[in-house]
Amino acid sequence: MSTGEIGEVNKESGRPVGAARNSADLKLRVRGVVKSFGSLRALRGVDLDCEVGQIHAVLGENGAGKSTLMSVVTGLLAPDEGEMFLDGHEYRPQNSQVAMRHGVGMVHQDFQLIERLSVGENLFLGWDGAPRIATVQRVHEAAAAAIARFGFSLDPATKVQDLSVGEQQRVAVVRALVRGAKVLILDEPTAALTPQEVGELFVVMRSLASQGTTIIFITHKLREVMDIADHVTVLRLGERVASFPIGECDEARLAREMLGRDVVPLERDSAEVPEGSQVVMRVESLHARDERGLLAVKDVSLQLVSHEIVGVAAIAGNGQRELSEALAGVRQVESGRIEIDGSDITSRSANAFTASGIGYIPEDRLGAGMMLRESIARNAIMKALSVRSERARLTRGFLLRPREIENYANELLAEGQVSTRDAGVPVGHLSGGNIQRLLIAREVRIASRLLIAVHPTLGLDVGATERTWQTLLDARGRGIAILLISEDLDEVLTLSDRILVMHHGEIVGEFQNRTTPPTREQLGLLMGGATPRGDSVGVSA
Amino acid sequence: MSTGAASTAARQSRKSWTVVRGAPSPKRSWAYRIVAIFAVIAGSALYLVLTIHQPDILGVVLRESFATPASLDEWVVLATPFFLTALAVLIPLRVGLWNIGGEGQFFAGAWLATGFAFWLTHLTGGLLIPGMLVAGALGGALWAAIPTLARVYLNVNEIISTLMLNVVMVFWVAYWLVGSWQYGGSTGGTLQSRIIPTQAQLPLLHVAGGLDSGVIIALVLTALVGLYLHYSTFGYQSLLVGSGRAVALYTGVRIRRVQMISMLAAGALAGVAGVLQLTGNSYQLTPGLSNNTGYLGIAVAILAGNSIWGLVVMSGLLSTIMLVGQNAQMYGVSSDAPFIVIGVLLLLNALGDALSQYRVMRLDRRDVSSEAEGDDLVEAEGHSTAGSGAPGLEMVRDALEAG
Repeated sequence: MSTGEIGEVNKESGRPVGAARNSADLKLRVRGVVKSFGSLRALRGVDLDCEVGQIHAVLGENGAGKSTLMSVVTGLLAPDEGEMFLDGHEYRPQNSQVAMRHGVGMVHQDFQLIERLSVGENLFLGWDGAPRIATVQRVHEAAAAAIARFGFSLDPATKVQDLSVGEQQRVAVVRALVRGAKVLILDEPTAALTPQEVGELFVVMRSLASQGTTIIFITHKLREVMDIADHVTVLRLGERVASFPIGECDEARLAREMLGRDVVPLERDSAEVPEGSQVVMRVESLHARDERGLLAVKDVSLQLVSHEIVGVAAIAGNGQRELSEALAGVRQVESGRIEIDGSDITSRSANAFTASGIGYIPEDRLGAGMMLRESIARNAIMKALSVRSERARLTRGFLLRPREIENYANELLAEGQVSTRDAGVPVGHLSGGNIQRLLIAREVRIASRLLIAVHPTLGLDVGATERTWQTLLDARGRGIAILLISEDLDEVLTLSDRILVMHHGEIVGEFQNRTTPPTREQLGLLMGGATPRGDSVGVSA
Repeated sequence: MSTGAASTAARQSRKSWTVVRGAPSPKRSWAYRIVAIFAVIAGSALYLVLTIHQPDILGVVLRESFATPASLDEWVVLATPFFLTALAVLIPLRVGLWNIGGEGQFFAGAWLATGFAFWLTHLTGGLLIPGMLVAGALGGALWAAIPTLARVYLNVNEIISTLMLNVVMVFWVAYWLVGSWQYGGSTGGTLQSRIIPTQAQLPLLHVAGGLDSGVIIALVLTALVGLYLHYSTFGYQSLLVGSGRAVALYTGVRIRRVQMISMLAAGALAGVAGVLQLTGNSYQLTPGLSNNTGYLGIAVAILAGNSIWGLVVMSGLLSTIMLVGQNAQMYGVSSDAPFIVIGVLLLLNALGDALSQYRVMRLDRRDVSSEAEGDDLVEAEGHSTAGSGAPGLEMVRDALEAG
């Protein structure tokens, strides 16, 4: 990188930019950045100071302005006000290429790799510094050298689609480093990783930082901030509310700064699953196929009991989605048996499952769970018409009762704390978080026996997550059985009475979370397919 | 390269007009539709004035179309079948099926009703016409049942099968018209049936233009269908089915059943349209009985934008186009002209539908990036893309890459 490019005199002030204002080791200074979108003020004068070789966490809820700030830093958005300095010089990138030329690189959540190309090809694609004419072999040699230089181990000839998520992320990191990134921005890098992979990522981050790379780590997970960061800046509603070295804070303080209030402790009416709980659902050697016709659920047997939350921990694509669909009547079963309250409903449609009191929060909320073009009222009764008691209220004969339907929708809006009170608005006009709260309220309402919840808090901010968790615990308190499927181990460990681990469509481990809680490492190993150790497999209730 | 200078220049606000893509908007789509209608009217008027060299041609045609004692009657008579053949397209559309077979179902209904009138002539008038209506509904539904069963159980594309069966039905009718039903026995030269008995003819409401009472039946049926679609549990189920397979599976609605009922109802309505044309208007079965209303119903349904009110309005519009076309024909305008006008209208309508998802906004150029934080933009706009769930503002980048 040539600093001469930016070492200019500020034309407005007439003095060398940033002189005498920066301590020598400040890599990036952001001062008073303001950014509005229409009436929404996403950033209201944010400062950020990152030192050389620092791992700097930027913590905040969804909508706090983390991503907007990073978009400003990487040149994707122009700030309305404020200035930035890189190595003490004014820094004002017009786009991400210019930012990259100044050594500011970002690894996006989705990595932005081309899956069908090799690791080496991905490293050099679309980069000025790549050789103009090169054989594949030469590209791979250069890539191998670059990978080794940064201390990674990756085969440059492997296609990206054949890599694990953690490895793909490493490719994206190397790609930024090869292009000269001295400031590396990682956007929610742990979201898709197993605990083991998170550990490996942290080792990589630490080693890069020790070599002088400044790392900005965007996250909303408090524990990860405490684990890896040197310094943390907390954003709330577009403002910097706190910034301190990690030694001066703890998780509780971070949570308070991030939320602007204390964390509400979850209320659980009893730690134990009470005696005399009935079996709500009994599943025997269930097999189900996925869209491609492959066996995705293999010989799964389980019992779901009232007053109990059963968490399923699995890496995406290990059959947990298909399992949830089969148990909700949405997916056809290959073989096996599903009983609810003792009666067989294996081959019935979702309608019958709903009528039996099963609520289902699906993974595909927008595609399957909601009709985005239709009003909130019409979406509110998607399930209720299958439930006899609600049907009696909402219909008269074969006619709908619009007034009652609107009331019903309004009740759901209130229960879900959705930010609109107008049931006539199309669901597609709501934000993702509101849609999700509406859907959860709808399903909890009709779940009189069992609630199947898939990633119930994915995409929700901390406040809404707390409320959703409390909703699930309240439902448990009312005696409803809950099957919780989540990729978020914290969620599974926090809520579950019992934890099942799935790998390749099979249940490979079971833990009584209240009496003998598993460690994250134990879960991670099982999720990753390690052979279960004898002592980790508990006995089913 | 002097980035310093460039960045100072970049501090100037660089607001510019930008095309922004969002969810398709029914409101904008209607606005474009109305513009399209006026454009077509203006174009047609211009065409008439420029090609027919007769003083005041426009005034003459308009007077004949709208200001004679019979003109209102003719307008209503032309609109009557459109209500029903358009419903025959609109109902299946709501469950994701295209019924292009309105023409065949129209004739199936008319054929069975004609047979009913000939075979059961002795029935008193009070029973004969209701009987013919039921027979017509049955004929249309049965004819629709073939492609429907093929679609629902064998996944045969219903667009093609319904379209092809139209041709089959026209020949089937022709077979009867050269056979036992032929006008004037076996000696007549043209394809037309005998006149149906007078007790099988609908009473006229207004004699001047031959306004028959069929329009009342058509409007009542339209209103019933509208109520049924919007206020019945079945209408709600068809909404679930029409919202996609994922939604239908999720709710457990019986997809096949809802699709079959919708298609059979569609066929029955098209069949009734055929009966009304027969008993109200022509009093005999001919291959020209439909006057293409089975096909034009598709145009009406598309222009109606999935709305019953739209359907009523657009039936009136198409009837206007046909009426003016008929009158203009006397002055040398091609009989194909109304169909060309309708074709152009459909084309402009399709363009409007596509354009309705774009908006022109004033934005800062550098904000325009697909990598910008979508959620904030969505919140700011209060508006997100339906279907994909992706952030609402996906920018058209072509114009922006340059900068």
